Amino acid sequence: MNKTLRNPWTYVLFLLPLLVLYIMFFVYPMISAFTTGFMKWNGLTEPHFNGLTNFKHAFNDDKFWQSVFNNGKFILFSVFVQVPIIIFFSLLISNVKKLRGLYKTAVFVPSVMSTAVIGILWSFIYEPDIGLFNLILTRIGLQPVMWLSDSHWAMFSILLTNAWQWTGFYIVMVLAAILSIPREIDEAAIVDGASAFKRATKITVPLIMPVISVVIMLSIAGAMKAADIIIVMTDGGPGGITDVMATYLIKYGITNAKYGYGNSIGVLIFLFSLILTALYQVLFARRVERVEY
Amino acid sequence: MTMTLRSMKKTAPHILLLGFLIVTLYPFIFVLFSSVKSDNQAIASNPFGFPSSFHFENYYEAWVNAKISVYFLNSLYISTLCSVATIIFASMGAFAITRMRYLKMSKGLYQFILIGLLIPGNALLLPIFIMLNKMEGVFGHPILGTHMALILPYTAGAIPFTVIILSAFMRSIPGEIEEAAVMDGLRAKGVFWKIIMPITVPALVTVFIINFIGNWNEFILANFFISTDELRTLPVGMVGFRDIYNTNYAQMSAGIVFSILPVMIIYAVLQKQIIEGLTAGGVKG
Amino acid sequence: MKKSVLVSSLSLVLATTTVLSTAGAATKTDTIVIRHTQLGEAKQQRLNILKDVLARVSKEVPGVKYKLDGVDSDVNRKEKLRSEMVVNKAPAIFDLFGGTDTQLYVEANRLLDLTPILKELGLSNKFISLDEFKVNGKVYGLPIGGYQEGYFYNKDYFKAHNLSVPKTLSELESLAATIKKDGKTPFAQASKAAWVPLMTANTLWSRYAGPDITNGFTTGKTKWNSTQMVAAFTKYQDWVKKGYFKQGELGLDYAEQRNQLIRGEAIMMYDGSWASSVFSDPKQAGSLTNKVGYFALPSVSGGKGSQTAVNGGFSNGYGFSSKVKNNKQQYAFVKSFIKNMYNDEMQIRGLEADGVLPSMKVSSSKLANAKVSGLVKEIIEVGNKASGAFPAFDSLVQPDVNTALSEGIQKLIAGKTTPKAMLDAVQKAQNAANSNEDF
Repeated sequence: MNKTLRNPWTYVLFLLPLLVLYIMFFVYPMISAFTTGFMKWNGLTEPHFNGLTNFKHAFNDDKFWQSVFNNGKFILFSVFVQVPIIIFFSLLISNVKKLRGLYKTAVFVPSVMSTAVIGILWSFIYEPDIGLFNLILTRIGLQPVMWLSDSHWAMFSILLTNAWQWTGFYIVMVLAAILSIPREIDEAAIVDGASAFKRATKITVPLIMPVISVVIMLSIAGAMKAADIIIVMTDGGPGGITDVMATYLIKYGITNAKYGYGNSIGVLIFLFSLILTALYQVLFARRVERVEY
Repeated sequence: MTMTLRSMKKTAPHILLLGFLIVTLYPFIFVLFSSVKSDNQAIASNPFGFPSSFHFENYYEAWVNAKISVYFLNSLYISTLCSVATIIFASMGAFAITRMRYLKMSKGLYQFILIGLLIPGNALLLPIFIMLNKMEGVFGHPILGTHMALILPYTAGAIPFTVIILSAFMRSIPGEIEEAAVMDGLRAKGVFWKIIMPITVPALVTVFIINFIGNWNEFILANFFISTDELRTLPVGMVGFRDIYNTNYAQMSAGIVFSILPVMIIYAVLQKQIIEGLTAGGVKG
Repeated sequence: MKKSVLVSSLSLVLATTTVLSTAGAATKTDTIVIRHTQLGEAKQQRLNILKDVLARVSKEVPGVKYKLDGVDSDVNRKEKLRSEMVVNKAPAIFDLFGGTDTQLYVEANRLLDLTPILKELGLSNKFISLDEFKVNGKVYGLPIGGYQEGYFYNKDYFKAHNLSVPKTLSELESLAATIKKDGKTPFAQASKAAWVPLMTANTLWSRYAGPDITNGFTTGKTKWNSTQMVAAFTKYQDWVKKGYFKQGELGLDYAEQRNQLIRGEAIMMYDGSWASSVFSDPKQAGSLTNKVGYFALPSVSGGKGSQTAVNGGFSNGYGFSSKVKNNKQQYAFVKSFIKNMYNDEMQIRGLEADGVLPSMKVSSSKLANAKVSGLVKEIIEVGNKASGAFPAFDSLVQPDVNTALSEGIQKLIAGKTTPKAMLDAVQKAQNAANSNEDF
């Protein structure tokens, strides 16, 4: 037994293709980003080492910090607005029998659309004059809102579209977990006379904590990487108010031909993600790890 | 009295859910309506309502004029190929990590791959670009500007996520099953192909569709790495289409429908397996 | 079986990948790729010209295969060409912008020096201005046409309301006030991309502070936050506050700007001459076809320097990869391309078909006989009356300064900053860029 699954050659053979690709497309580029992050380099002429200058510049740039805060808004919105909505609707769907298949399929639709297409689509909805939202607002006698151009609303509009895109995807995940809970647990609670609300909060939610934890983790990773939704909706505008770290990188690193600086921003994004994950592990994930059923 | 209360209880979730459904689907319905409207005028005068007449020729024109057919086929074969390749490599790796007896080593490797989830793709755009350019020396013919420039990074890019989901799934398979198989004289490869892989099918289907969606919609690399029109993928083609035909929203909407359709069909067909896969795999991770 | 399944499935995947991808290989080394930006209905004529030129070239230089590669102009300029330059993989012939772009690529030895070819073909003195493509006296690109910027306006509306073309800025402002009172938007605009509002701003500041001021920013001779600059942007802000631009225009794509004019909701639009062809095409302009006029941004009383200079230049054209030099056939192809593309015939064709202003000194008799729309005639007229032209700021200042100004103008439109504060920030970025900071 042990011998069969302890053959070093087999072990290496099974891991080799995976590791080769992983090293080529993750490790090597990351190392090269790390090294050029300490250089002044326009991508064309010879780079030269400039120590910590790139990082100092980033830390002294208000616009960089603004983009960091926008990533923060992304995370907070995902975790504290989106996740409760996901749980709520997953519970609802799991509680109905009729039409469940329809709900399950339909909520997934937005997540199969490409972000580029979604940007086109939502620009119709946010259009100032004939867009859906403003048609509704003026119909009920309210002032129209300049969704993408008003600095108070632009970030919110992006978060809303992003939430629309991904909520269904996560609902399907959470729903899968709820449906896998053995029926007997719930039935026993019904016999005990527990209300639906109580059953949801005291039994279902604790049992699906592992998947909620996965959803939160994926949301945070998604929020840290978000770029294309912003590029297609506002391109960071108006006036850079909706830039996140990734679009800041593209704007100052690639468009303005400061590749060394761009790579140092890439390194910072990676480090921030690492810190967040560590924090998350300490604060949240450890507690739910042991939940089993 | 009790009757109405009960029916209230039964219908209330449906009202909420239908509301949620409308919010979710409305933009999509808007595209469907727009795709059969005659022209911009018809869309602008009645942007969110039912079309007054049906113009299915928009679909034909989008398919032919806008080369949606070319983009579509490119995306289809690249997405399928990469999703399959990722799954094969990742499941082999996950098998070695979770089922073979090198636990310490495997744990380290798992953490090592996990970090990949945190690496921002956009930040690596340029290093990858430069590396693909250098690979010409290895392969003897250029990689950049060919589909290979997408196939390699797409296959590699999905590795961390896929390995994590598949490892979680394979870890939950009871050890007795493979012990029995080994007793029957199967070697490691046999255990992998004949025992573990069949059990893992639900998780495989799940990661397949998630990776497929990711590849199908990928924009930034496809935009940077491919420069010939016949080699473009659908998202890049769609954005080009928007830039070119920003005067023709009806055709653009027809193009959007083409871009969503295949993934919808795959999802509808494989829905059950996806749910199973998510339940068994990702959930317990 | 077990082993063979694994091995064969793997090799199958790899084999398909390789076969499929090599089958799709884009560029064989002996094929010349021509990167153009003539996409879409509006540029169909320009694409036809390019195709005709290439047909002639391949007759003159047989045996060289070529391939057209169309990419959106902005994508090509900011992402595609830029990244191709990094790995030295630019196509042989490509759409190129003069100014900072050209300088950067010349510095890295990526562009073909065209000076000897121009001499050989006798074209050295044929261009109106090659300044934007010149580095150290050598020519690295050839402008395909010229442009200038000014106000397009709805002629029927002006007639119906007894309005006339303004001669001074205050006349323009009273026009705007009248239009606003009538419930229309005076100026069409769509500022999701900041270069759109900056067209107006660029000319406005050149009226207030003189057309030459922009040249001095990089040397430190002039300052963004000088009094006249602040006055210009205060005027701009004043127009925003009075609602002379469409509300919510910060979220709209550039194409929306002309639609505002075409739909009749806006009456005037500040744009480049490249937009003129739209207004002679009934499919695009609808009922506004051939009913659009053109005038320059009028003079400012008390303004500095020439008050009739127009924002115009010759900044967009073709550049060629320095690698071409090593391949005789490709070099011959490029030479023939230049010969067939840059001549009176093609310049007139571009003008007639698309309203592209000539970049070469076309004989005046030929020019007079060209069949052009009334609008194009008006544009040429404005150009002829102008005392001179000044290039757009973005070909003169560093990218970081452009970014700072772009964000600044959008914040100004959004009411999030004051002209003074905004220009102080731009000057700060300018100082940093000038000091050649080490990052």
